[in-house]
Amino acid sequence: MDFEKITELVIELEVDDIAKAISEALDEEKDPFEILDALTKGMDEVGRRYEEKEYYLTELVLAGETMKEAFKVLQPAIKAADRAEKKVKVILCTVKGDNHDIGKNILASLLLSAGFEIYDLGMDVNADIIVEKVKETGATILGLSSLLTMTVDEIKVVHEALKAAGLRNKVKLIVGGAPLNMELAKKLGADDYADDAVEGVKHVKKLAGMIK
Amino acid sequence: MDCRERVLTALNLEEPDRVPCHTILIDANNVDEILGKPQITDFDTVAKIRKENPNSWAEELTNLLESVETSVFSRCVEAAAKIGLDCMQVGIIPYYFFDDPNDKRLLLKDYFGRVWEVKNNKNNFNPYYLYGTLRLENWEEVKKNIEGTLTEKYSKIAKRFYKRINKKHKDKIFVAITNDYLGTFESASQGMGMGYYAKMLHKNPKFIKEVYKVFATFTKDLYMSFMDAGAELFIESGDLAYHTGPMMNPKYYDEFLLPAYKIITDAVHERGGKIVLHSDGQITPLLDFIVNCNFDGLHSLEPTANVDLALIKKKVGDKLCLLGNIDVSHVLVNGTKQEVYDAVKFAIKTAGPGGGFIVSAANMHPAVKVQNLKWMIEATKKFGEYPLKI
Repeated sequence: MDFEKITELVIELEVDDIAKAISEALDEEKDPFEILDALTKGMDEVGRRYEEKEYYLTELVLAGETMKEAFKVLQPAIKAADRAEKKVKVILCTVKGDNHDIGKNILASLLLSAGFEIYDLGMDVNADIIVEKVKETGATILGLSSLLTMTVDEIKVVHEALKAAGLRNKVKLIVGGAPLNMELAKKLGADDYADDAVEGVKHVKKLAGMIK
Repeated sequence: MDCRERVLTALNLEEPDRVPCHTILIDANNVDEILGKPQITDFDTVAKIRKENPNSWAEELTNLLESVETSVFSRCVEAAAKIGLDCMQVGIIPYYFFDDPNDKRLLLKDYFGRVWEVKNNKNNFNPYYLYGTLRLENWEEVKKNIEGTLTEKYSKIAKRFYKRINKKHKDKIFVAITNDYLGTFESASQGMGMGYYAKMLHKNPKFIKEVYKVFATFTKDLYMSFMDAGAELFIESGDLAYHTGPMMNPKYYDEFLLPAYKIITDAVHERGGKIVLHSDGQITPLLDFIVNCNFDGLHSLEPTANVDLALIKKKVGDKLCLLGNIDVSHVLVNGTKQEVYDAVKFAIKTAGPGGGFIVSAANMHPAVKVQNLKWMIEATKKFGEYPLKI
């Protein structure tokens, strides 16, 4: 299994074939980190096609599903290889009261393939659980999604809870969701806002100091 | 003009006496504020039935759903009439309660495969979509049920439901029908869950096309029953787009969704009715598709999704009646009177000339304030009289 083939499977959204391809590559004793690079190249191309309007939300979702299948096989091999690489830790979730996780899931897949260490807390998450996870993991970036006007104030609740725990200056808070914009995000205490998941990756990289 | 004439004139792309005013719903907490709280709330009923029927409460509650939905929508229409809206929409939703021993939440399921959590909105039901269960493997069973029992059952319910509500309120407000929660696109994508839907769209598009067709035919059959009971205006719930653009590649809308929508729009038009598409999000790239589906109007025109009302009016104002554009993320939630007035004035000035425009909240949710809705209606009446002076 060559790396180009793995990249192509991601680009072509071959969700049913990717796990087998990764297994074959690992059986052939290919370096798991090079396999990860091949996946990342595929996701970069998916992102490019999204920006060029060749791909749309459904393709991003399917690319996310493809990555999920790939990581089920690849993750243990990466952990076993343990190169003690220091990855940037990112916590993601939707805020309390919000059950819309499509955008959050896409962002998780894109960030994973971009080399971040992701802690996905899921949907409808209480501020105290988020604070606890920031403390436990030492994550430096927190991404919150809120698709409902009714739940955007939860961003402020999380911001305040982080402050009260003395963690606010240790973690960058980025938010996304239909009712939000940069102005409102800042008003609610966030450091940054992104329009969609593809933009979100660029913003997270900036927050992590990886790009300017 | 009465409310009905005003709305239908706008839908005919003509100038009524003034711009009509509509919302897709008034949330139950706000209905309570307008009409006063009912003595027995939805959750009182749930508690009572659960206590009295520990083993069969889900079935007992399901049996009550028709009367609950009729009562909820009837109160919504009454509240809408009381605050001065010209048009309100109502619709039945084929839900049933189910008891999952591993899940303590109050859960509903619909016949398209979606599972909902009933959240408590000041003691009123507020269903939130959780996940989809429709799969290729259970499709034949779902389809058989929709085409058989469900169509027969809900066609009867539809007639009773509309007759009861319309008889009570038709002198005060124009009552339209919506298939909110039943829309062809969202029933398919949410029924499967977006991950599985996206996979099927790429790997098995014939399946998606068939699902659309079956769901659209069910909607059409229901609409025909509503028409038997006197309904004239329908709002197809779409949500075809999100914040920055269409959910799918526009070619899929043309290839898969257009034939399904035409089943509905052709049937409604054949009997002299009107039909509007509701979709949130940045809908501009789909304007030709919407026109080609033969919809009479387009609702939402969401400002937070950067929909350019002037551009939409210019592009399709001679083909579609435009409804919406009043923001529900700030203006109708925390906006001042001036902000609400400004939003309405802007919308009327931009889309009102020549007719074919209806002021409407871009969407609805429990955080929208009654006072802000009243300001929206007040401003529409103040600035919306034809000939326009703004």
